[in-house]
Amino acid sequence: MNAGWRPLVVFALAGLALTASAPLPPQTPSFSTRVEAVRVDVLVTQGGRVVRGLGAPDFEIRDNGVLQQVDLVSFEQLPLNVILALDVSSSVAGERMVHLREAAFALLDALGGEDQAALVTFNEQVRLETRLTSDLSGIRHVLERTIPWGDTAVVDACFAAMVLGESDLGRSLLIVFSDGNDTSSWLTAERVIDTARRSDVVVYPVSAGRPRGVLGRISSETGGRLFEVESTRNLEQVFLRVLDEFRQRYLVSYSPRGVDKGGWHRLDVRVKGRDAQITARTGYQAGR
Amino acid sequence: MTPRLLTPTLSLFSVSLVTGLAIVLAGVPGARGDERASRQGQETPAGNPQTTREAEEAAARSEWVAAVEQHDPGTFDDHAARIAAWKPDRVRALLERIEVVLRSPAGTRLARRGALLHADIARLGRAQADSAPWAARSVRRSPPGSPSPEFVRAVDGGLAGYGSVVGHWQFGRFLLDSIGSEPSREPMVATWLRAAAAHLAGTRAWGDLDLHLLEGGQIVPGDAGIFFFNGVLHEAYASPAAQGVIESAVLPRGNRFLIGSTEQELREAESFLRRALGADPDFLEARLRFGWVLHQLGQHEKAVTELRLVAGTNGDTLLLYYARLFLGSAEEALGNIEAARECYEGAVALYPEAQSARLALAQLMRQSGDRPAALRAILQVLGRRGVGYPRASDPWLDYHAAPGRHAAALFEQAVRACEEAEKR
Repeated sequence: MNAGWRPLVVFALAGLALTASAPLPPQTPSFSTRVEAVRVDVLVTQGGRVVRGLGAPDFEIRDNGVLQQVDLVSFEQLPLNVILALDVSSSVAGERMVHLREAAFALLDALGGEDQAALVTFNEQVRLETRLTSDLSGIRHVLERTIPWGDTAVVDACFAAMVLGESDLGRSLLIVFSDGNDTSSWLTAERVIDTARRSDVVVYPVSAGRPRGVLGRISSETGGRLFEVESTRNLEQVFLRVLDEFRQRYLVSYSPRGVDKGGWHRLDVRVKGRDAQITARTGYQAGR
Repeated sequence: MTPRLLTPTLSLFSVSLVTGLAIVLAGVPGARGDERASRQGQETPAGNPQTTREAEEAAARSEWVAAVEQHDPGTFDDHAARIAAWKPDRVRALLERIEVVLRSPAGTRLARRGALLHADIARLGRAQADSAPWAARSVRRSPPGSPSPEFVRAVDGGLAGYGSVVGHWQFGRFLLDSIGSEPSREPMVATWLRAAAAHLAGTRAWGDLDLHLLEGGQIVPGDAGIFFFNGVLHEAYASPAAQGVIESAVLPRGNRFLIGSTEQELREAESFLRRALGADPDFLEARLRFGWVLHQLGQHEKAVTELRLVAGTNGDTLLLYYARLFLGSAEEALGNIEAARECYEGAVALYPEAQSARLALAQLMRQSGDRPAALRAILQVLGRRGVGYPRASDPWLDYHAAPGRHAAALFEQAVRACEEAEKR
């Protein structure tokens, strides 16, 4: 394998269900063909509405300014890996926890049979409550028993959740909910933002009530979107909206040509002939 | 001469301005001594309010003296409980009246023992009332015209309420300042001040600690311990927990926080810790914090130099953990990945259940492109379902309050110093 490229798998449109039941996930897919490519998770909107029906010829991708040949665009209902990273610090006590629990349950109910979910909870400590699994009962059980307490380590939690999301080769969506400033993380925001730049996970932070500098930056680096809510009463709708929006993203793939094999690669994604808004990661780190 | 602690704040206010901070201190009536003492012996008609007041004052004086003499230092006994029930103004007024006595050779014993009494009231009497240490943070605000310093209490980085300075620490400082013509030469004084600082840091009472160090620093200028705790305080002010409160809290009109930006507070911490090391070059914990502050200020090479000195010792396990963790971070910032990994693994070896070291390793592995290793590093602690880890399992969570672990021993040392002084 060429160490200069981040090794990725081109998905067959027949779908690929990967399990995470082993202690360490398999590093190779279940089919024999594997090519190295870069994949970019892209949301296309125009006038606030998601644009559907686009194909490979509609996309234009520049890698460090060099126009690339788009090989594959997927808009199918591919199985998702949804990681929930939920703030359970003391500021979430009471009604907020009720809303959060309801929102998480609604999201789990909206997942398909082949989708997987994982749960990370955090206060001043981070807990990987469940690994990626299609058996969601364990996640529900944990959330029902969770009692908020302690400070907030949202930066550490984002890092841990992204690492967890990378443990499976599927399309990974990380929804991070927090209503407080980080007060106890060890990792710095800059180091976790750098991790986000290298990650395949798309991060959608949902923030309630306080400024969200670090979460906003993580979302923009991964091609996600920050949702800010004034109240947790409509958290359920927000979570479902995030899931729905993520399902409507395109998975654009290409094999880099004409660019250096190492280092940071800036990505520029456009849709030809449209004045569309593109939400995608800002680039990728080749070789890592 | 050291400014008096219970007089109007003019002199201390000007000192505060010089240091760049503005603080409103307790607006205590400025009468010195007991004017009525000059009228002792004058006969007054029975039932006269003056007679009644004098009798009350005499009774208070007797009660306080008895409590001081009979109190068992290091405990919250009945004597401490009796004085703890007094309103702060009553204590303040009494101490002002007997100031002349306290300053006399005959009053020195009362001053020493009184300081121990009030320290025990402050640290032992309030224990039940305080919320859990991790839930309370206090930073300082300055309401205009306030008669006493006001402090913001925060929970989980958010505004939770307001509080005032605990008077008993202030009473203790006043009493110590009454000892002899140069209180700083009295061993008990510096020890008591350091012990109180340790307790306040340990309970994250940053506003109280702020005032304590301001006044204590005037009693024992040049003390390495006071410099150290000033460094601890400004590190805490620089932390996300304090900065988050400043960022999000909305104070009533006319009030403002007296805390600078992260960088400003780190520079204050650097200055104080440098002075602490100047006064005591062997002060290992000061050197540890100095190195960590330098790292946060971007001076990574200097940080490595300082932190290596601590990491290379065979001392306190807690300090070694911090040293290895911080040194790893500094080495990582310099691109010395292998050295950083060794440091983090060394930290894990000391506290295997600590998330901070595992996360540090995981982040390093992830940065190197080794995703499976990153996942393994965090799963070993973060991924143990159903297992709750006590806060003590990760020293990083209590870094700012860590000096509090010295409080009990320092107070015992202060008691011994008091007893030794009384033998002389």
